[in-house]
Amino acid sequence: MKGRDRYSSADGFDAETLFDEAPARPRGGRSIENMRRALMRSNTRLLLSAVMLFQFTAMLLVSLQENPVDMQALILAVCLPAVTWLVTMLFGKIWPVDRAILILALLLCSVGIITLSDIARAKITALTQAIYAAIGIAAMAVGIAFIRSVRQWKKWILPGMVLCLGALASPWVLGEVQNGARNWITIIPDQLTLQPSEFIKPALILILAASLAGRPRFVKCLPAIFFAAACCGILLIQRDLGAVLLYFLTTLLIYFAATSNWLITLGGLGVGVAGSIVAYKALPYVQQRIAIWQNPWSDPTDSGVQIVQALIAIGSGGLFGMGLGLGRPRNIPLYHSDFIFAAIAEEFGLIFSICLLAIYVLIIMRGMVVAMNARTSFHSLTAFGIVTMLGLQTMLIVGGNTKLIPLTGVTLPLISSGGSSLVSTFLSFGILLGISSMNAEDEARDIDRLELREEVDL
Amino acid sequence: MSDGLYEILALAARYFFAGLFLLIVFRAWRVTVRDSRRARKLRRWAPQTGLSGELVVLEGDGRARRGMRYPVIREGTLGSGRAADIRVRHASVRSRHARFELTEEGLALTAVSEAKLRDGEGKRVRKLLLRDGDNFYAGSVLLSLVLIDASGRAGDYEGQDGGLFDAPRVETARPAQAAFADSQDAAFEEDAERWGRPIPTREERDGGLFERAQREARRPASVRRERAGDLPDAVPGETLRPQRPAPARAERENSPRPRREGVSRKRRAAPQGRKRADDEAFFFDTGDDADEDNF
Repeated sequence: MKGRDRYSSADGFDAETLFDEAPARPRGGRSIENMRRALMRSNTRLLLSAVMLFQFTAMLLVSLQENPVDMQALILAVCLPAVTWLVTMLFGKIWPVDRAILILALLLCSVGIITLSDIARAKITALTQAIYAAIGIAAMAVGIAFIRSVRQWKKWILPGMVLCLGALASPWVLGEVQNGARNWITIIPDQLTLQPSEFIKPALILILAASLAGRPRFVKCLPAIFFAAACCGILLIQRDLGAVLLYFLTTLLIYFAATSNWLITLGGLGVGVAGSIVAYKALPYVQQRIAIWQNPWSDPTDSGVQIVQALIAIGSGGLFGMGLGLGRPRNIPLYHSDFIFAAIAEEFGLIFSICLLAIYVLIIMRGMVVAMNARTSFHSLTAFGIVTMLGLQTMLIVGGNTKLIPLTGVTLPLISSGGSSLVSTFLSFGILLGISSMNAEDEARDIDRLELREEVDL
Repeated sequence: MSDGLYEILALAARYFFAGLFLLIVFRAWRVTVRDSRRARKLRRWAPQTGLSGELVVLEGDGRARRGMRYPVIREGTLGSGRAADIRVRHASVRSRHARFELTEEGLALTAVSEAKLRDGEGKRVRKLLLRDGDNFYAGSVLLSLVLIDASGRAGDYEGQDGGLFDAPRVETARPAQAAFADSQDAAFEEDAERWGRPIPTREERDGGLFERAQREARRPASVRRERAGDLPDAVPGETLRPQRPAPARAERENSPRPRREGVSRKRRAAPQGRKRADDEAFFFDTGDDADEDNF
């Protein structure tokens, strides 16, 4: 090779080395320190402070509802901001996680605790939610450590599939029917129940990511597809339609992200649509759900009472809401779980609700960035799957609350009452934060190399 | 507190909560935008961000001529098709010729179905493990691998049993000075004994590297080494690559930015140990917001 030959392929692929020619960078006295400073992550202190202020003032207001003050709410008014600050600092010290995602996740969780403190009939509901949140934070730490430690994920595909299917089928043996679905396991009678399908969500994403990483051919994707289909089948028999929809759409989107195969993806979507039509024709409760969605006012006191009351609540809130503690969310059935969004819209208003949705969108956006910057396709697909599932779940429940789509039995992530949902969502967030921490470390290494190049003037 | 007083307080607080939430959303959005600008800046300053190395064509023709270089990411597909991460456009290379993945030991290459993959000596194989400087044939194109963070010479391979939860051996560009080398000195010394050469200190390595780079830049093109195998032995962390003379500063500043449209957008760095950054100032901005225009 002589001189500076420029070899470029005809289709525009620039085969020039990227290491010999330094791109134009600012010169003239710019120090490495300034460069590093310009590349430093954004300051999240103001964000954290605003979140802590909201937590404190909202819980303080809730505590003033009673005469004398509600001690539980007062304690939570101090604990919530303290725990938020502590978790943010601690996790940020141990791992270079994306603190914005962490702070926003803790904010959503605190909105749930504040709302439940205000609207729940029993005070124990809010306390239980706070305890589950603490367990969830521990689960988040486990998720971070887990994803940072695992190297050979392909080994665990088959055992994971067997374990997940067994866990999903366990309600048939150990479970009971709740709200028309048989997907709960009783741990302590009347006190502690567990919903396995919630914990299978992150497991499903990990198994799909491990199976589909590396852009395999369709034949090699079949085990993962069959596994997802089996999960959907079990949930359909258990009449958990929301989870079926969630699993199906997440699998479809992860498959498309992994393979970019339009044909198979559209084929899968077609199969899903066909399955929906068959379910509508064959299952009476599906027909009932669709009928209620189409016209809830036809039976506003019985089958349509949920949607009607939710719509009235959202409308009553107006732009700024009726005020914390001044609404009547208890008129809505399942106001603490499926319809908590309507309760929040009533008390806090439309602006607050839209901001809440915007926070979900921001988390999803940042999660997508984490997915795009991930170093391996497994981590990339995992991060993508987590934020996809979060987005789909949010869309399903908010759409159901506002009568955009038929109601499903999913919960609003991090906000709705429910220990299993809360802990599994925190676990998923932990996995996402773990991937973000690995991205940050690799980025710091790249900056290190950049510094070296600057020093030797390559 | 009386009901009337609480009602007044709650009605006033709803505006406060709405405003506070708008502030939170706005601040979170601003943080997201700044982070994306920061990332763009990093990619502009360090275009090799996320790359593991490059493949250099030593023998080829047509659109895969000698001297062409292809950036290597962490994992992907080598082939002639559009969807390939490393697109070697040659008649003998299939559209999906081989899968590659960067491991701790090197670049693991696996032929896809009946694709022709041969080692540097021409022997046909199904799987290859390439070290920095190794050659292989994809079809009839001879390629040489150049890694950014090379931990050893070609041929120095020792299998490593990796358990599920084993952390990978850290092989960083600057093992003695890596920002994340906090308690791994013993591992590095063990590596040094294994590879049979001392891990240079920062002053030694930097001085040596700087001097070596200066010598290469002054060397005329006719005597510059062309084949990767002729290049000097690699010091851990140093890449083996043919050096080009660094253009003069004026020429560099006046020349247009190098085209990068063909580079894969998948920026993935070499696999290295996950270590907590000692430089916490990187992750914790101690001052005001970093002004991206002031650098």
